[in-house]
Amino acid sequence: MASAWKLDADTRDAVTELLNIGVGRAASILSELIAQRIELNVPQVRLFESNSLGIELFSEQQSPETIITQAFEGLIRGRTSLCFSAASGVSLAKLLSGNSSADQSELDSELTGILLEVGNIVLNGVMSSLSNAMSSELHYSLPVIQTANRRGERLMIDTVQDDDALVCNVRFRVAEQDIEGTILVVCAVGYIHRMLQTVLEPSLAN
Amino acid sequence: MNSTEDEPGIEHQMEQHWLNLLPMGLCVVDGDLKVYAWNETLAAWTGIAKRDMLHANLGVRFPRLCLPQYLIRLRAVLESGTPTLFSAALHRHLLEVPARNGSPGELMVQESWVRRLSVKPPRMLIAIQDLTTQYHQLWDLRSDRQELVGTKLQLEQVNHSLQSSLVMYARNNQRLQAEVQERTRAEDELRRHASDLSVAKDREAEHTVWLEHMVKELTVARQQAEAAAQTKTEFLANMSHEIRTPMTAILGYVDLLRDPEISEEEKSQAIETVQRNGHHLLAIINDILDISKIEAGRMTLERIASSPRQMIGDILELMSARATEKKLALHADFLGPIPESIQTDPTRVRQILVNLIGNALKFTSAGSVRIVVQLAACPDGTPARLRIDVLDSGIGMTDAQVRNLFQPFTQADMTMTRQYGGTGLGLAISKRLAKMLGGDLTASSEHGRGSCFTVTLDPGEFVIQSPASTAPAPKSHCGEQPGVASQPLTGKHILIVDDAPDNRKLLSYHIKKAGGTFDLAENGEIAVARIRELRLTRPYDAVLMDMQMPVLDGYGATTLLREEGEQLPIIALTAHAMTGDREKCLNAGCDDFLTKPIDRSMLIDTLARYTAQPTAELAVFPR
Repeated sequence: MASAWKLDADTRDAVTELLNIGVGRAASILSELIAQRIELNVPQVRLFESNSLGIELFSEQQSPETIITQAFEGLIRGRTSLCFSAASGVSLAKLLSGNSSADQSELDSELTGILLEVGNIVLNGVMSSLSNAMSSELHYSLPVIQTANRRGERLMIDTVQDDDALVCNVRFRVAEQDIEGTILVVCAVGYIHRMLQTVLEPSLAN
Repeated sequence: MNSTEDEPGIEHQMEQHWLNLLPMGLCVVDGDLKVYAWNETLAAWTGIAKRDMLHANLGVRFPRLCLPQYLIRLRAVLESGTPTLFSAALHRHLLEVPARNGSPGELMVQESWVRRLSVKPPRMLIAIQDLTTQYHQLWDLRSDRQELVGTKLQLEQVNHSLQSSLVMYARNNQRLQAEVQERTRAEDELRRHASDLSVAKDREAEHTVWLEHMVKELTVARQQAEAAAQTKTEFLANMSHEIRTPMTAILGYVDLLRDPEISEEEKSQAIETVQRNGHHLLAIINDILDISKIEAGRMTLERIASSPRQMIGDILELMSARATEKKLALHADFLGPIPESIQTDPTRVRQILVNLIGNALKFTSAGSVRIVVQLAACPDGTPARLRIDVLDSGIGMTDAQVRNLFQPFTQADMTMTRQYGGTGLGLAISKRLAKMLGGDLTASSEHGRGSCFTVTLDPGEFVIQSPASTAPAPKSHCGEQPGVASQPLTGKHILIVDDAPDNRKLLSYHIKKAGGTFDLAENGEIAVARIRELRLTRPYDAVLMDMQMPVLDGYGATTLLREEGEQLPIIALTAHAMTGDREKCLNAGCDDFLTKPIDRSMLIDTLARYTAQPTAELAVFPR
């Protein structure tokens, strides 16, 4: 259903702040995992209409080739995703596994498992911040991993059913490695209002 | 999903069924890791039955779970409800259990999910998946892959090596080709050098042969030169002797003449001896000068129209006195058509014939000397030659003497010269002159019987006329005395011009003896004055003019006189006998010339001839 709710400047700022906390926490966890400094860009928040079959968030050159996604629902509904290029994904996985073999340039089951766990940890960090902020329980799906097939199909971020989607994406970089990625949070717009009410004006939530 | 052991029912049974049915290790624990569910798979993996694990502490059986990195995450699941994954790659396993199909001591590789089941009571489900086999396969794959990569690297290295080898091979091949080319070039050059060497060797051999030949020729030439030098030494010795001998006689008899007590007979003999030796010495000197000129190539011949009959006639007349003395017949025969005039040097022809006839008369004691003149055609088509044979009935010569006849100064010839007189150069000079006149001089002889000397001459362009030519037939002088007038100059007045007093005295004596009168002049100037002085009163009949004088020489005086229109005969007296000098005298205006030393008879003959006729009708006789 189309939402009449508008993303005004205040709302945008509030959502940005909220997500920033989550993303910051996630980056901190990742930094601990790989024992390297993480640099974060300023989060970007955009609104996408519901009739988009998929969200094209990246230019063709930046289209991710490895995406770990975890869905959530409860007070708010949406997905969180950790996106990498194929090379960055492999580099991160090898970094964590201690495998410095230069001849492994593709993800096998072992490296895929690593990325899944890393994605899980990072995305849990994002959602637990949101959940804590809302003081409400959310239900989470198990994380799934998508890798671009050999035909070079571009991976899409699913929208949230019939609702407009609020998308927040933050780019990060591992300072001393050639690893870059994006953290995405996609929320159904209708739920944002309730979330904000819950977070910002507890008195209004009743 | 909430379940407790206090609510067994259909749902509980179904839960148990599902828990046991799934091929994964499943257990339910709380935040303290107390176990509330333990499926059959886990019991089988761990070897711990369900009844032994229920309500037991998982952390006690598996202490690893109590490590902070696990405990914190497990509790976070209960607190936030977020599921968590323990990957096989990072953890290897959550519960340490032996691998089911692995090697002894090998632990199971596990991937484990932990999810919150309920908040109250706090329960979480641990789901463990056995990935041992997959990881074995993965490791095998990786091993194979590494092996393949290694093989690929090796292949790449081998390929690189091969490439390098190929490059090196190509380079070596190029180098080899270059070497082969270089070798081929070197071989070609060697072959070329060998060929050049062979050529050089041949040339050297030829040169050696040539050198040997040159050495031989030089040896021969040296020998010839030595022989010639020896011959010349002999000649000089001979000539020295030949010159000194008459000089000795001359000087000796002159000394004798100075003796006041010498008898008339002795005086007469002495004078005759001096005269004879003087003539002989003059002949020797003339011959030496001639042969020297011929040898030096400085002998020049003239080529003028000459009458063969006239020449023969003059020679016979000249030689007749000698023939008469020896009571020998001397005559000439002309066979066939004879040219009226030929182109030759009459002086040299006369010289040759005087020599030949003189020799014939010398070596013949009895009989005759015959001259035969004819025009001889040459069988090979060369132009005809005038042939003159001089035949005698004298002593003849041996073959050896004939062979050496025309060589100057040979031993045999000198022997004959000493015995019979002569200079020993006559025939050598005659042969050379004959060759210079376009012909030759040959001889044949029979010892004791006589000899025949044949001279041939190139006649040049000639015209044959009838035998009845205008020239007078030569006279045959047989036992006749020469027609010398007893007083050929009677009534003739001669002017003698000579700067040498002795010559003036000698000439005046001869003229006086010939019946003439004379005046004397020391130089041309005086002579001209005397002639002018007596031109009208008592003109001279002839002048004997010495050409080399001080003040005014003969040429100058003659020229002066001729310019004045003086036509009296002027006979030049000159010590130079060359053709040029004769021409010079004639060009100056002289009518004739005599060569010093003056022959008395020639002097008188010449003067008689020029004073016998009126001046305008006198002909010039070429000599």
